[in-house]
Amino acid sequence: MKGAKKGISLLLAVLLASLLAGCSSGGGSSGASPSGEASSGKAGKIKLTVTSSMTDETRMKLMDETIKIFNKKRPDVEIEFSPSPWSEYAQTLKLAFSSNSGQDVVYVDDSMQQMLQKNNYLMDITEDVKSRGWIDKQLPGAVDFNNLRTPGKYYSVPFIMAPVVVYYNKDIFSKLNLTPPKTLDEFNAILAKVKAAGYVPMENGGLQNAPLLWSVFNIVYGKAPWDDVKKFYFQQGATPAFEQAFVSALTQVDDWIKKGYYRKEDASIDGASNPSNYAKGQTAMVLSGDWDLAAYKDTGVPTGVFVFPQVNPNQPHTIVNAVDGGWALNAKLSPEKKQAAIDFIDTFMDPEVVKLWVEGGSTSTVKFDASTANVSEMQKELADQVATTKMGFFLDNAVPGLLDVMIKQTQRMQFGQATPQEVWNEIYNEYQKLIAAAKSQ
Amino acid sequence: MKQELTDISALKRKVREKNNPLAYLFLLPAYILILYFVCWPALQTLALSFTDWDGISPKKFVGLRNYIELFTNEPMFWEAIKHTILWVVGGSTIPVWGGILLANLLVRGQVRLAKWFQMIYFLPQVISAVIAAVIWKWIYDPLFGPLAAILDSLGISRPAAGWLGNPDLVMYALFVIFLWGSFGYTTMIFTAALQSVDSQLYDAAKIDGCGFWGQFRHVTLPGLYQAVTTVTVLMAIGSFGIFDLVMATTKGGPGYSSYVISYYVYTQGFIVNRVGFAAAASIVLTLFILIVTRTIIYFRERNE
Amino acid sequence: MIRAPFLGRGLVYFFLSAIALLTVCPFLLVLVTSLKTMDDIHKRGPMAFPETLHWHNYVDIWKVGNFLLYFQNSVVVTVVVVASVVVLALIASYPFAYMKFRGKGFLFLIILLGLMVPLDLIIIPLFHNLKSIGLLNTLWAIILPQIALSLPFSIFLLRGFMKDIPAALLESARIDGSNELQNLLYIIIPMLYPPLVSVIVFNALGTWNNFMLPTILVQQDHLRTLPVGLNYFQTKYTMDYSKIATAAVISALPTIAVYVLFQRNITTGMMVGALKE
Repeated sequence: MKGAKKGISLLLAVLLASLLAGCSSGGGSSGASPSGEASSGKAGKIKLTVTSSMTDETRMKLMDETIKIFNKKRPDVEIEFSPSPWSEYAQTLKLAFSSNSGQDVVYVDDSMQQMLQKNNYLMDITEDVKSRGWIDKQLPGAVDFNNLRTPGKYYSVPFIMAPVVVYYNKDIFSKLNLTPPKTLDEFNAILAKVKAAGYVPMENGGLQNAPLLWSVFNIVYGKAPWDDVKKFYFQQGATPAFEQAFVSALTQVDDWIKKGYYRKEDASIDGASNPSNYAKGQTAMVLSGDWDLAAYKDTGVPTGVFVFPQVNPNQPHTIVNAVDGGWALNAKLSPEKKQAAIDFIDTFMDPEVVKLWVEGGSTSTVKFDASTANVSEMQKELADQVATTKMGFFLDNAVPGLLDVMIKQTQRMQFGQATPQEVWNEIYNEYQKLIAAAKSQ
Repeated sequence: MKQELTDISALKRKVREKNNPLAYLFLLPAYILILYFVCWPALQTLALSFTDWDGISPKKFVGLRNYIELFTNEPMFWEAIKHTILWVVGGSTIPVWGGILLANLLVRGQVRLAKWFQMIYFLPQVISAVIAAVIWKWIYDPLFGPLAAILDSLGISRPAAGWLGNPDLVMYALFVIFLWGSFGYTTMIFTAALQSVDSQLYDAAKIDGCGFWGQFRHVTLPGLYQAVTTVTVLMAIGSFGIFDLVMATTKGGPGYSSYVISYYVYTQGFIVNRVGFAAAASIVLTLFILIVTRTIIYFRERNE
Repeated sequence: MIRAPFLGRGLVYFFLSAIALLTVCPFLLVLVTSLKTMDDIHKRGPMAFPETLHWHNYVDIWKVGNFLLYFQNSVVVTVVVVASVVVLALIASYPFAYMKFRGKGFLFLIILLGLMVPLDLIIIPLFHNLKSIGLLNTLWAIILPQIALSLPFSIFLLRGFMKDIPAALLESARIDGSNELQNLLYIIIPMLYPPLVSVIVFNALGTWNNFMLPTILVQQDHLRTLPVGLNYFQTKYTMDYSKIATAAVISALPTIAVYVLFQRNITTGMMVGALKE
């Protein structure tokens, strides 16, 4: 009888599956995981759960190597590294910590750190930072950077930066007799010449507007007093000077839009395809971060690197750059685990490890003799350029939710639905709402 | 004697039919799961909507403030409502009728290889929304996408700002993706339903002199009635949840042209961390769905 | 059945084939992409045909992270969920279609409510509830809520199809003295093969592709499912399209296989049903 047969086979399937499910949830994993096995019966080992948002293959390999080097010093510690994709990382952290299953060591950016620390989920590691001499081991201001919202106290330690630079097509530049600009006026002149010659001046990717926003930030750094920038970033509001700088920056970018310096279909282009579009060889420049260096190198277009020009000679040359994130500890760690975690963080300042990451394409915050590393021309050029500048912020990180607003408002500007002043007004409105939401606890 | 027995058992049946306690037994296992994993959390969210919460700190009770703010201080919410309504109306009609059309062609047209056609139409359902979105982002890519390439080779001019980045076209562009992904689903359901319509009814209709349209109106449609209602409701509900699509493509943009309620809830709840506020928005969304669905069912039940 | 004139039939076939082609093109794109590397994509754009077919992607993918494990987890979860949903939904839809009982309207409202509840709405309380009963970080954390979330839809669907079956059949059975359970098993279910297949397929797909639930409710790597793994090929600002495509093809294959297999059952079932008439 067909019905009965189906019923029985269904039941069997359920039973079988439940058995399997039971086995899986018992904690054993049948496949070998690349970094650290599930610990059933590994007595005597300290286990640390580590998480970050680095899920790409390159950096997972680098983490593997780093963990191996760490285990040479501390063979008694077992690291279980399981990253989460960046798009849900903040949410995952939130859920984990708010239900008492937060990881032992977490990689956090400035705003995530703020979110966790506000509720005392992170351990104050000021003493260890000082006793291990980490501040001196790193570039000035690096360790402070993520901890600026808690002056005097340290909760996290970075090891790489995320600078935004300008990649440029060397062929086009030489054909038009151009050199990397040192001022905003020179930059504008280059744009005009490139446009006149029939090339695409800049890639953007209108669906996310990242290069556009970074340009805005870079200009703001030149036009607003640094204190005002800090006030905005640390949620203390926007001073008139800051507003003026921001609107001025928006106006400059609006000008670029009107002059057609971006592709005419830019609004529908996804920023992720910037490298492929650039690879066509018709684009002069594109703003992107050091994480994209390999992508641009692989396009086959001879590419150079310069930093966004200094907008105001009377102010230090600041560019969009920030520590990529920092390692922070769970406040609930036992002294034993804490020690292991501190040792883990220390590993990232080991010259061997730093060399590993630099050769892997990252920009290190740890003081490091670059000549000992085997890096490409482009990487060297990027590092040299960035070394001449001061670290700015990713202004959209000022408060959670601000990036979305900035993207949308600038998109409206691109379609002529809003003027620069209106865009600022909307952004500022939302900024205040968002701060209220963030502060109200 | 036999008549009395039949009467008694008929009476027993009637009484039993009025309130059959066996029904509760049948319903029990399913309802335990649904109540604990769906209803109870939903109620908890309702409670959340009256608080001010960021997902991590202790909660603070604020009464109706979230709801009031939602309707007075959030112009974006109204944008989202407008778009969602358009989407739901389109989503509960076009894929449904497309499915009916195709199912008819396949089943009643005695198309050979109907099985294969159906399989192909259903393929988009097989992949996750994220991948579908990535695929279509490429298709719509103004530089590399096939759509642009085809239009160019045909000499047809295409919108300068492209499709997904174009505030006037983006909702339509997204709807095409939705249609692509859902028509196989509706076709499948209607094919199954059509196959259980008694073929003798069609023969009878033909004898009565009905042509193709006559058969459709008098045999097919009535036979499909329940299925049409079911599918319309499901598509209406499904339309409310196009969050995946928006999330993976435009993120509500450009500007706010593709903002829909479910995406709004997401940004408020998970990006801005106004969880209490987002809870309130999702409650409003749920009430909305309730009203829409109840209306559809009400009309259908009346016509039955 | 109608017999359309020859031209009409040609048109019908053309129309159907055109739609089929449009439907399939995006898939070809995924397939082609899975045979590339990111270099190809960067250099020659997403649409270009790769110079060499990188079949090794299909081998490499199993070594990336815990891909095999994710695959296994997905299989286990999907099988358990689908089987449970089918059984529970069948016995739950029956009363709604054929029995009268107090509170029927109210209970059905709960079903409707269940249909409309978006996952985002309940995920946070769900997380805390699961934690307090200690099921978090087990596969049950994904299985049980998934069953609960799939039931309303399946019940709704099955009830709809059950109602299309003439009540006369049941009446005669009841007169003959059979009880409700027997009615269900021997009369209704055999008539429901096509919709049952639909229910199985939809639930299998929904569970297999479900992404949000396992991402949030399971934090430990060795318990993750395939779509979560897919998402892994995403870095802070870019996506590894070739790997995603490869993983997507592999994820889709089992579901396609299931669909193809059950397709046969529909046809057979239908033929048997038709002959019985």
